[in-house]
Amino acid sequence: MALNKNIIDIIQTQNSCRDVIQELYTYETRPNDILRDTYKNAKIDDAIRLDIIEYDALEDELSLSSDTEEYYKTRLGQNDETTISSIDDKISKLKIQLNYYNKRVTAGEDAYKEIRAISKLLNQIPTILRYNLYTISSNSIFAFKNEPNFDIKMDKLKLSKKEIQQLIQASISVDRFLKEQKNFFKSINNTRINHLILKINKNTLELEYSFRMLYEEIKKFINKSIKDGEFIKKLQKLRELKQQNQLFIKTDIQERVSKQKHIVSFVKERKIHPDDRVFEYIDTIQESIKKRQIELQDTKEEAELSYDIDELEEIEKTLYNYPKLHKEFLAQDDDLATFLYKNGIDRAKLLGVFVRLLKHNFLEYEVGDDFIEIDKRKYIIVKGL
Amino acid sequence: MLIDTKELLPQYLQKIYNIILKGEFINENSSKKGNNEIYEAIVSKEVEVREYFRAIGYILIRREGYFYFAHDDAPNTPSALERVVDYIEIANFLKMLDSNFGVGYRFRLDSVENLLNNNIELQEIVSQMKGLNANTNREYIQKIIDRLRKDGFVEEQNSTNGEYVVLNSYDYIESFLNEIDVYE
Repeated sequence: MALNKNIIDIIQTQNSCRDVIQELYTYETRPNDILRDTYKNAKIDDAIRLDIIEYDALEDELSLSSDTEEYYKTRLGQNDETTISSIDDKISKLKIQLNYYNKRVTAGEDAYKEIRAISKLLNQIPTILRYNLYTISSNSIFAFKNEPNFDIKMDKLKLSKKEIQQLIQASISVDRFLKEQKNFFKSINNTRINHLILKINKNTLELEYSFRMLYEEIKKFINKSIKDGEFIKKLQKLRELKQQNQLFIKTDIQERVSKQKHIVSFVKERKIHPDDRVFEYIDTIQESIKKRQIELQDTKEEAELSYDIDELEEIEKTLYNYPKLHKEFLAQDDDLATFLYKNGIDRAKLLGVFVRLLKHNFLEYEVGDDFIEIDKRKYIIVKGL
Repeated sequence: MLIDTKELLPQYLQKIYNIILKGEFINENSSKKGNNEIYEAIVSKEVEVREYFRAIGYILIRREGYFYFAHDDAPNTPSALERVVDYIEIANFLKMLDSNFGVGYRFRLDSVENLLNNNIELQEIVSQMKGLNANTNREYIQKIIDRLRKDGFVEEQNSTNGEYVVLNSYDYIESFLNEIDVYE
């Protein structure tokens, strides 16, 4: 019967064995019969079948499988053993245990404890390889897709590249170790160890493809990020040139714009807000006011203060009660722009209202030589006479 | 080339013409009603659509994942240059805000606002951007996104949580800016 490891089975079994897992997480192994008596509702056989828990028939003991142990260690933030370097560490420990085993067998003693230690170490290796693969994979994808800071992203991706190279090397070391010790393991002739070696070989074979794929993927991430980085540099350079009014001199932007087939909307004349137009002509308006002043003085005529309907339509049909604003302005001490700003005039219309009031009431206003700045626009200081 | 309009997506011609008049892009990754459908329709009859609209003075241009129409006689107005120059600041700001910003990028206004809240350098940059009369970081972000939306580069995908997606057409700006040569 094929082993059916669907996720619902695993979750249900894990839930039923929650207390068993908790106990095995605290102790390395526990007697099978005692655990079954204590936790009668736990699906312990299912947990063994699904590799959540391991059963040792010789000792009649239960322990957590390496995968489960790693998973909970990671969940609890206690995983400081499954680094890439821990693979070399496991190989070193294996060599020591093989040596102890040798000594016991030579001395004619029981080597059960050593076999158990060797089994445990061998069992941990595929888990560590897999765990590191997942970690590097998720770290690199997360960095590539979600890290907003370009420099940090590049650092993280380069680290992932280095780690996957180290992991490939570690996997090669495992293969080499197993080949070197092939005859020795044969001489032990232990079913469990033979099974574990087969498991490692099968796992490393499958993982090797994933390692290479991930390595290529990280290289692609890095190359794409380098392109992004170059683009960011270019944008910063273009912005800098724009600010220095050098954009049209030091780039081919004008030529490119003229050659490009633009979308229809990009070649339509953009409506410029009338306030912007007015701002461009503030000096001209001042000049006009001065000339008009002289003209009125010469002709001794009363100035017309009525609204210009066309002009009002130009400022998007927003009407203000200019005579009322004018009277209120004269009754206080602030300059005209500050007064309007404090009066809650729509920011986008502020300059338009300012200029209109100035134009209509210039005979009662004193126009100074200095400017004040409101919302990054300069307004000439105007006071009531 | 003779074009039989009966065979040429009659149900889409009026819609395509409206898109031309509004100056909109036709994006494959748009979820706006009908936009993706029109994209697929044009893909299926690209040659015919191109010929049909060429006759009335518009050129169909295909890029990766989007189409747009340009004037056949391409009037070289200052408006196009002005718009591209405006986008130098916008594209730079967005890329500095999140280097992942580009075609297909998904975001929510509050998450982008958080990125800006945590970046003093960018707050300075955005406050210097012309034409953005805003008082808060949220307003700056809103105005930039409104501009992108108006120009057809982003689309609101979910009005409940305010999620946006950057459309394929954003490549129009990015690839143009990327190709500019800087003389050193």
